[in-house]
Amino acid sequence: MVKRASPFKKALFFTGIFLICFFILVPFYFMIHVSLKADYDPNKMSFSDFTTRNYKEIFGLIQSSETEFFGDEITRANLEPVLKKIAELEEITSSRDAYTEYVHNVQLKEKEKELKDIVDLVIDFSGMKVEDREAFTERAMKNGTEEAIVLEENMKSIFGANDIKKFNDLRSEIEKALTDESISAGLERARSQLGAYQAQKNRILEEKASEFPFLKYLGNSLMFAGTSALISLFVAILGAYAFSRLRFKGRGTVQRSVLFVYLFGGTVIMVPLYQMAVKLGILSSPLGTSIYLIMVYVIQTLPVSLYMLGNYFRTIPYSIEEAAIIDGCSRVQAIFRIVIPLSLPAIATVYIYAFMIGWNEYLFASAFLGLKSYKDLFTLPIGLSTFSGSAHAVWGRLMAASVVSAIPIIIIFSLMQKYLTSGFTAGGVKE
Amino acid sequence: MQSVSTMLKNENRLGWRLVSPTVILLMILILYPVAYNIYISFFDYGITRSTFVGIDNYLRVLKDGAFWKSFFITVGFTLMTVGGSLLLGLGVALMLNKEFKGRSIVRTIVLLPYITPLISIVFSWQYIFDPSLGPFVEIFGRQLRWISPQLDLLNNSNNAFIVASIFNIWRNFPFVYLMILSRLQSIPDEYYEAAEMDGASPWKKFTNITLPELYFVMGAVALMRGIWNFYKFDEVYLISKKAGTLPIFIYERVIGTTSPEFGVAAAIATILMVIMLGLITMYVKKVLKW
Repeated sequence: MVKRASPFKKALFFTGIFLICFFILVPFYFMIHVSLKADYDPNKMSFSDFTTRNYKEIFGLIQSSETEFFGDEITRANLEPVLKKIAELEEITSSRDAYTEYVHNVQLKEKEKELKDIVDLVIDFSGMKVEDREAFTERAMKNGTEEAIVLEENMKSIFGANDIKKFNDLRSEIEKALTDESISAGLERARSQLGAYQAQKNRILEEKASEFPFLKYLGNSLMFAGTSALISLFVAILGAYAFSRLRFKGRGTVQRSVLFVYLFGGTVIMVPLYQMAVKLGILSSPLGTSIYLIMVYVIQTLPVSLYMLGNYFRTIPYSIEEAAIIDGCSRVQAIFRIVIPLSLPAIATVYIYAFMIGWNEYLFASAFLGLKSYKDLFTLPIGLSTFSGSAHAVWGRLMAASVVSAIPIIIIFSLMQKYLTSGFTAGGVKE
Repeated sequence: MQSVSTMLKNENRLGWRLVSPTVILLMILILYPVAYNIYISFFDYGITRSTFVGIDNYLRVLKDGAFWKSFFITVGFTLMTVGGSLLLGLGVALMLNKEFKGRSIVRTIVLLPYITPLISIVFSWQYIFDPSLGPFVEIFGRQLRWISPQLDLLNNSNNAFIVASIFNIWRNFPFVYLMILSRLQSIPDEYYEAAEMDGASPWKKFTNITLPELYFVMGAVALMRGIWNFYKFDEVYLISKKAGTLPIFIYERVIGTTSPEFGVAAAIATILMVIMLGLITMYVKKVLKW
């Protein structure tokens, strides 16, 4: 009621409105602003001029490799130590002789030095009187010599059991180092190490070439959120009909447990859900993981769908159904022929809510997909947040991806604002 | 013609058939996990080991300073966000309940934070508070010099939860606003007209008519937001991995580590659950009319 308000009050009021809009829109402004700038140049700490390149990039129309953003340096710096290690390992694993030589010349020397250091340490700290230190050390390093026994006695006073065991292990390793058995095992180990390094090298090179797979993330998000919302909707239509129309024993209990889930969080059941998946071996295959994730989304969205649909079904006059039933329709037929067609707007609204929950979900996606790193299944939240944490993160592309993933939702919302806002107040939210 | 008792029996059977998918899903994915969680919390549970340790996990957690720090951060976060979004939501609802030009546009704008997908908007917030490029440090740090130019609000575990709180208020106040607005619109105009005739000042009208009408909805929303924010993970974690609330504390012990301690995490989750159950019971008893 501003009809008799003074100009001052009016100005104050509009300033308030303006401030609120400003506060709300600032993040959106930066989202769009940065998305329209070319990429961040690490040397200049600034953005270059206006461009639509980020958008083309995330849709895969153009593809610039990391080289274009950062020069070769990052890749080279990442690759260098790996290549060095590979060269080393290749040399020593080329033949058995080469490996034996390596063990003899390098590995054994290192271990002997380590052992010698320990012996020195013991001599220094236990206050042993040693005449010829060099000779004593050399003999003490051999198992079973007189000196070694003296050393072990002294060691007990300054070392813990673990350290003594380490010392003994190291000593026996040195003694056995040049036996056939140990060399074979060592060679095997070195070869598998080489394999691991080569895989790492390939990964670095691949990462360099790969564009930012935004469209894949978008597709996965659509798939997970869309499917789970559809299943949840179907289950909820049946359940909500029963809640609103049928009297059966235990209805109250079931309704209360649904409400319980509505207020209940994901964090609390994350550990057991994860453990169940591991125990059943679900996470070992991408298909199993996808199905499990969809089912978890279904249970997250189900309470909202049930609650909203139940409320809506109560507003449909029962007499319409009754007439159909008298005409020979069965109850289930009545649901599909009468109730569903009559509540299409509500069903669409509920679908959008359920969809949004899956679209925003991060916790379970990161727990199930992230841990085994099923990169091909990443949804937008986990894909973008992984990307933002990597060395290849580029603000421009991140923001362009943000804008593109927000626009469809905002458009849908503004088209259906009337239904959706009333949905909020009717309990259409779940976090 | 069927007898009444067979009809009731049929209805009973059909009812159960229709809710059975819901019930089965609830059992497998909610009830069983909750029970399993409590079970795990009594074990020293890692990737390869599981030995019964009784209430050791709970004792360990309760003696852990890091847990208590995280606990108080969570309580602080919850109180700040509930209070903040309630005040802001109330203010905006009162303003937008008045008629003025362009109100419908403003009403749409106000809803934007809540409907925009979370993942679309977090990076913008991260960018704003980014220490090297972000406009926040640029303006207040380097130009106005009100804060230190080196201030990193996002990656410092002491103050990251403040940014997380501000973000949470920004994102969730539209929800509060909508609930309050729909209540405001149902207050009959006659109340105000009668008060005006008695010569009541605007402030009197607000405290004597508007507020009492809003008590119930505000209490309900506060409780609901309190429950949700208490275990909020996504919104906090995506803004800052260092915010240190309890859900993040659990997550770091299970997913963000190479030697997960499922037992300890389950114990913390159980503690969280007990607190939440208290809040939920309150909500159901005081607020809900299903």
